Amino acid sequence: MPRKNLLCTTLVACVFALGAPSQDGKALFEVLCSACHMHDRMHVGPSLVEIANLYRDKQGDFIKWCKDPKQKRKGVIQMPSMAAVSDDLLKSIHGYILTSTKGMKEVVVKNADKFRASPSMRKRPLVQRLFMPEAGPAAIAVAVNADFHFCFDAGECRLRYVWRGDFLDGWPVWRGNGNGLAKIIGDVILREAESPLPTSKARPRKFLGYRMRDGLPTFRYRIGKVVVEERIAPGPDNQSLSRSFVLRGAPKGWTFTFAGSDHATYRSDHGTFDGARFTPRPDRQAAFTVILEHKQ
Amino acid sequence: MMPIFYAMMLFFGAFRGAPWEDAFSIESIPMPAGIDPQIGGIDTTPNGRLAVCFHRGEVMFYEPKTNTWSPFAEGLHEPLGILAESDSSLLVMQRCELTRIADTDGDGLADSYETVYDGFGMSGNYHEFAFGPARDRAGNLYVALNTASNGAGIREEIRGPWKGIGVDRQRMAVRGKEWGKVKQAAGRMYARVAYRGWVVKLTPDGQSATPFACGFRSPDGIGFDAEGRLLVTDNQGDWLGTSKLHHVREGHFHGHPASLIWRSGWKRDPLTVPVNELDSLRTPAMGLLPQGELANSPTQPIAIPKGVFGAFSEQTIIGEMNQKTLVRFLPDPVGDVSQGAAIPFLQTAKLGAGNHRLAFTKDGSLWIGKTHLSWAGAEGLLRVRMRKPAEDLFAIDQVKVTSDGFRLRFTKPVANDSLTGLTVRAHTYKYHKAYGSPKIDERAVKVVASRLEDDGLTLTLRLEGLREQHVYTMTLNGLRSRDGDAPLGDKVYYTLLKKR
Repeated sequence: MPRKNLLCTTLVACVFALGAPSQDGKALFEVLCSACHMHDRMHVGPSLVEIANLYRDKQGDFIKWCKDPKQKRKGVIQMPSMAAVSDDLLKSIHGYILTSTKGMKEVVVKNADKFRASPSMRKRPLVQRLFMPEAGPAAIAVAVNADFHFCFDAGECRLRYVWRGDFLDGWPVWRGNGNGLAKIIGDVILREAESPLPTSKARPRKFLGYRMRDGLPTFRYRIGKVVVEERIAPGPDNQSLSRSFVLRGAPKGWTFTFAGSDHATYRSDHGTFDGARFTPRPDRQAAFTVILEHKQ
Repeated sequence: MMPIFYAMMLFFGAFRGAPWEDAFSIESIPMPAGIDPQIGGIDTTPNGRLAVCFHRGEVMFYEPKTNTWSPFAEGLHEPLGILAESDSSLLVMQRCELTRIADTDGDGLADSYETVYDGFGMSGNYHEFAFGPARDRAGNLYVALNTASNGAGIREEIRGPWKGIGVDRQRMAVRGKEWGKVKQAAGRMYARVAYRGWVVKLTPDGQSATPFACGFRSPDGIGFDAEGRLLVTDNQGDWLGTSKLHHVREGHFHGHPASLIWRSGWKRDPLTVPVNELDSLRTPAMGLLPQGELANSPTQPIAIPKGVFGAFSEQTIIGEMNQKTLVRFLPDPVGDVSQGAAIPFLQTAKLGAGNHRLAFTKDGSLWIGKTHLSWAGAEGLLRVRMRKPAEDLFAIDQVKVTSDGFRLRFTKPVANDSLTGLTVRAHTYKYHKAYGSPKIDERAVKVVASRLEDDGLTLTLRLEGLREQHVYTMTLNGLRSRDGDAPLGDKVYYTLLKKR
């Protein structure tokens, strides 16, 4: 029993030492800084090794930076101000940074996407919602096949652009907390400035979601009271895409605008083109398909 | 001194974890291959599987009986919450919308992605996460919307209206060095697109949305307690001296001013409202969770199901990203004031950090999904099972404020001589626009009298000068049950708003 008592006393002393307010730099670091800073490598912010090198003989500058941090590094978020922490505590953190990094070297972390080649990312077709360039924030990227891809904007309920290549690199979005845009891999062959449907302020657009068939989405949205289903799928040959619309509640005589681009043109058996203006045949007004052909 | 200090740390760590690891097993679940294992949401399906959504948008089912993963859906934009409606239909909160994801043809894979609610704004700022949904007893759904961070600006294209009131949208879209000149314009966390910093209520069919309560900064956790209170956690930062647990009520403002801009009829820049006016508008938090000690970044609150985890049944536990602990919360409302006690739960190194999403399966297992999103945290999935007989858990069961102190109830009789290590401290935090707050008005509180009932189950503390609007930290060093157990949680952080 005497041994047990001694053990208890020691334990209580330990708990007391840690429970009391501590000036210890290590403890402060763990509470205040360790969420974002690691000793030997870049994490959310720079490593302690790097900070030690920058501020070894500049304790005053260190304190100044902590209280009024700036943004220095591209793609790295700015540190929140530590103005609420007293100079004395910041000094002990500074001391800890210097002592704890003695003899330590910076480990260069390869900023690479280790899931880039995983089957879930390489699968084709593939639907992937994430922040895309040249689109609103509610974008949907779709790999139609190994070659053709497009970006649909769920906020605007319209196709934004089509490209050919190896789909996209989502790492700028996925590596962190979403502060980046995916990079498209390949060449854009078509950009659309407007919906091909007769939209206007009087016909508010509302995204309704999508249904999956053969790995590809059929988008559903409303334009005013008209419910639209739109599906982009591989075309009749390996140079084209097929773009189909089903409209419910559309008034008779609606025409559509498919402008094409320098690199891609539209054609259709379901109606006639007058320049960019497409008029479906009477029997095709509620369901028509246009073919987008890439001119190489 | 330093080696001794580290030895003490190790010793201390071992001591801390020991009662938890005696009482609970913590098991790491192997993750599916090729999937970024950061978990945004988990829920239990009626047939006993776990529905899990991941950082890059995959949704998978985990079958605990066979330890197998099977794919269900994919391609979602940073899903951070999941609610299983049935074995084949899930509600998932993505950055951009609440979506009903269903398998309608019975092949086990989702084929329908139906937009349930996207009537909120997106500026494209990275910090505009979306959380939930939580479902009340009537079937209404609640989602929580994060504010934007001035760690970055906004996109040139946004979704929904922009409410400037002195803040120019085009200027907020600048990048690089120019951003440094602009970044103070809207405040550290800002809400210039719709309902950022709000909890939004949806009717059961999702067709009608009502902005429900505001004043949130980063409300990662939303859920109901066993008594039907809507709980939301919020993260230390500007206007939050420390992280908080809120009891959310319709029409209330919960303290972070950016979201006030979306109050009906509101016309002022929230940054220009005097602090004392904001202070008078706000509903104080039900629980202040001391930064660095208990929680730096609290996550999902969940009610422990009835009959699960013994004495903890129907109590609320909360996840936490940075500290290697969960938080147990014992409400102690006085009149219409919600307040209560926060106590560490599963405080052991084995738990690890990054504890983001919680769910229980019918066999009484607690499942914890982890994430980090490049901040502090971890990855993967834990299964926690109680391994001690339910009646053998030794813990604080109830904490009630009195007119001059607190009354603590225990699950097993307390050894009379184990209360000598009791200390009480009080402190509070500043309410200001700066990031975080030091403890202020901090002091040791004299225990005038302490009385343990003969049955050893109730401890009444009379304190000198009990002050409202303070956190009381009661540390029970050396506490033991009469049969020799160390307690599961030996610190109580009581947020005192109103005495009895």
